[in-house]
Amino acid sequence: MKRFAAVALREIAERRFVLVAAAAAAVLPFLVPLLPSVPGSDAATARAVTALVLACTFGAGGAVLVGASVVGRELAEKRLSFHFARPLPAAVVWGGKLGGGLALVLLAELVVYLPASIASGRFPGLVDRFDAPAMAALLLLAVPLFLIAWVASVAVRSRSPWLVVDFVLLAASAAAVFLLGRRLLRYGHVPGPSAALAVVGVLLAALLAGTLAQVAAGRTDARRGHGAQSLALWSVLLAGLAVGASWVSRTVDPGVARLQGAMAEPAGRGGDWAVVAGSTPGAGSGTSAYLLDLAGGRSVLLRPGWMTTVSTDGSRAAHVAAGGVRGAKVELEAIDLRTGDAVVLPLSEWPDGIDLTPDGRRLAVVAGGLCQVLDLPSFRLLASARVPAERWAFAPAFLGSDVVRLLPKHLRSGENAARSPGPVPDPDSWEMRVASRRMVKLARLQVSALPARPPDPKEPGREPRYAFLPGPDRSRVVLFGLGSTTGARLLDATTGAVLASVDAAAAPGPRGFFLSDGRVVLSEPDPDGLTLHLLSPDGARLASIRMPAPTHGLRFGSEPGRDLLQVGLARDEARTTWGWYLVDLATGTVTPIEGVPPQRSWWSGALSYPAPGSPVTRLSNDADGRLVLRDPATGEARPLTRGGPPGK
Amino acid sequence: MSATAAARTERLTVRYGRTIAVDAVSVDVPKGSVFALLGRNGAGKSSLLRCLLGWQKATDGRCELLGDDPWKRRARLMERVGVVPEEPDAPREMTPRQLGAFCARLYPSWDAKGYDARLARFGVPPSTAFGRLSKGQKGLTQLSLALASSPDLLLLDDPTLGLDPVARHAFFDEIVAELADRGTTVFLTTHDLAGVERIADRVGILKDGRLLLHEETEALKSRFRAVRYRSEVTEGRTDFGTELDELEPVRVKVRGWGIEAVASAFSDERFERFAAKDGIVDAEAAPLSLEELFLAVAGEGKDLAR
Repeated sequence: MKRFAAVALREIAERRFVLVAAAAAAVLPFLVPLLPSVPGSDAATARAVTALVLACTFGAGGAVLVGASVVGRELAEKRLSFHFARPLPAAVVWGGKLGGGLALVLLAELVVYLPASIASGRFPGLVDRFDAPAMAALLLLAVPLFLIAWVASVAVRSRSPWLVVDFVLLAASAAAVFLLGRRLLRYGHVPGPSAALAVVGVLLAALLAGTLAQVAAGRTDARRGHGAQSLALWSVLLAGLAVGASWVSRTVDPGVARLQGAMAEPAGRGGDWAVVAGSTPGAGSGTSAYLLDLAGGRSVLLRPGWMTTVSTDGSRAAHVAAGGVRGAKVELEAIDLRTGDAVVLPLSEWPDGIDLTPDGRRLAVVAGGLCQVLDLPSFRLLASARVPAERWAFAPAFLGSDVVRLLPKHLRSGENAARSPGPVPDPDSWEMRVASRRMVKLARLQVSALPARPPDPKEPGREPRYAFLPGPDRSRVVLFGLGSTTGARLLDATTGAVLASVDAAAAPGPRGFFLSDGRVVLSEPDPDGLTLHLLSPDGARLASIRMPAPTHGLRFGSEPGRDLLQVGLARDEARTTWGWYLVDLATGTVTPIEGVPPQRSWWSGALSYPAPGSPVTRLSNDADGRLVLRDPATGEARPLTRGGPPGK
Repeated sequence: MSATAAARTERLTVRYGRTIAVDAVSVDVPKGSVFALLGRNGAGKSSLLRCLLGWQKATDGRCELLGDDPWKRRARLMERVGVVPEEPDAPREMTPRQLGAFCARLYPSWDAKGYDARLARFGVPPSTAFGRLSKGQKGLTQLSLALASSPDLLLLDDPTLGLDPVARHAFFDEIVAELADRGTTVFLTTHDLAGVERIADRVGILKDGRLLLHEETEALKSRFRAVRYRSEVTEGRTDFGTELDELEPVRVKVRGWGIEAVASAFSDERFERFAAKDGIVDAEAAPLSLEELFLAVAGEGKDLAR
């Protein structure tokens, strides 16, 4: 310790001019308020900002200056031998120079910083946005800078061939870090503070190992020292990079089986594919999503996004992904499910809906009020036409490879009474003829016929909102009111005729859902509970089933078998607790079920109706939160993911 | 390991890329001796010394300092070794007094009084920054630092390089005094042959990394002689050009007055036999100074090790 202190103190004494300069600089913040251009009311701020700039300048400049000279200059001037001619172990020489140099730099920063901090009454902080921890982090940036300057000065001054190795590995490492970072961000994983700390830790460990090896193995031999430094530095950095690459790989693509808190959603009409998304422990706040073939067991990693559909023959998937760094762009991916290859088409904005032909050769996409039909995988534009209803979002659906039916979904994002005053216009249903590139109007769908809910004092100013749920063959839609409107209508999409209706003012308002064979379920809430009405495709009432109270909310799941429908009921007004039931539509029996099946979202831009009993209809989350697939023969649940809450 | 060797190398080799700086050099420096390693610039002296000091790792071979591996045990060995480098390496901003204070914290047997006394004797101002001292003062300060630790071994790398005659004299006087007082072993490399001649009891000559010669100074000087003679043609004489062979000449020059040679295997008997040869006239032998000997040997480059 005595020897370490001797070396460290000598380093400080040798460069005491840095402290003298810092002391002189510490006066400057107190002089700035005296400048005529600085108002008296801003004196404290001017002083603090000046001190902040000066402290940072001294930190960075001092770190580079002292770091570059502490060993590199002595080595070049052949004066490092003075230390090695003394009974000083190499580690003491290294530690003394490191400790002395860093102490000098940090001391100089404090000399600049402390007087202004104390005088401004903000000690231990300085400026409002730079409180004590932020200032400490800023001042401690001098540590890596000091070490980088040390390493760089030895490398440059040695003029050894290792310099080439350094440059090549530096470029390769920078490229690797860029690619890893880009992969993380492209898949929606923003590294958390622990990851950033780990990166800083690896960098510091590499720099410390490099400088120690340089002093211990190189001693007075600059070239040998540079070689030892490079070996140690790059060994640690490349090992860290390998660990980082492995972590990135496991974070981005952990595999379906490692997901926690996983949710599933059917993808496409075939019934074999589902989108499964969940988080992984230690992977931060991001989630990983897969397109999972429940029949074949294959999985394809998806980028974060929205709307995924798979062609009925299972050959191709279309996926809308958040592109660019931090999801600044929108990209449409067409994924060949046989090879895993994906082609990407940038979009100007999030699409309202997408659909694939059954053979996966054509893709329809509605975005920005424009409907486009594209050939896959070339993304060649086959047809494009504007949907003449700017306020409504539309979902496309192929009726054949040359006909796309466009049914309204909901008012477009941002469309509200403030922006577009007056009554909401009735939307039309349309068909796009691909060959002739024409848009043909089918019918007007009257939303204005839905009754308004009595004003609710708890929710004043609530606007009328509407939702359309398209049927499996897109020949009919269920219209239901949201916001201040209520009621549900089964409409013929080609004529606009009302086939059935339910009007009920009680919460949560009437809702509807199609079965895969075209039958319809409309809900009718009343003050005591809720009744489900089963309708034929032409709107004739087939049965009415009373659901167990309480019913504060309603969700529909899948059809795990013919005449079977999963229905979720909210048990409290906050809709935090849900109970799920299997409703036998043929007998009218309602049976509670364990677990939570994937719910079907009317707002999905790629809604599909898989056949009853198909694999996706047998998915659910069990009591432990695991996503399980039930065997139709034995009823046994096979876990597909891990249990537990979403991992952090 | 040799128990009596203060410094020892065994087939020590140092390479810098394709350049061989030290080529399988084996040297023994007995305790209490003064060994002078001579050689021209670039002969490999400093590389060999750096290996001995544990500053540099040898490419091949091994070396020992006071019976220990200097690469592995450098820090401990330096407690017993005083070093004066070729170029003054003390921190420029520190004064000789501060240097003494710094070193006093590192050595268990630091002789502060002796250090101050030497500085005074050398006329080195103790409060002037090292960087502002004259070259001679720097060298003498470094010698004072080396001696103040009461070393068992002094390693001096061309310590008088660039010093004026007064400083050189003072330098060697101090070493002589140290030898008289403590019997310290000295290993030095130098170009100052006149200075070293009076203190070195062993000499080695290095050329192009190879050790040409390594033996006691007296033995060396006794077997090397300058031989001058005239050579005459006589009937039946057949040994022209080979008459000196028995004396193993390292250099032969034909002058206007006759022939001048440097013999490396001189003895009275051999010289008498040579002088008595037919056609050899006015033969005489004269001792060589270390400088003359070095010029003859280093100029020729024959391996003359005995």
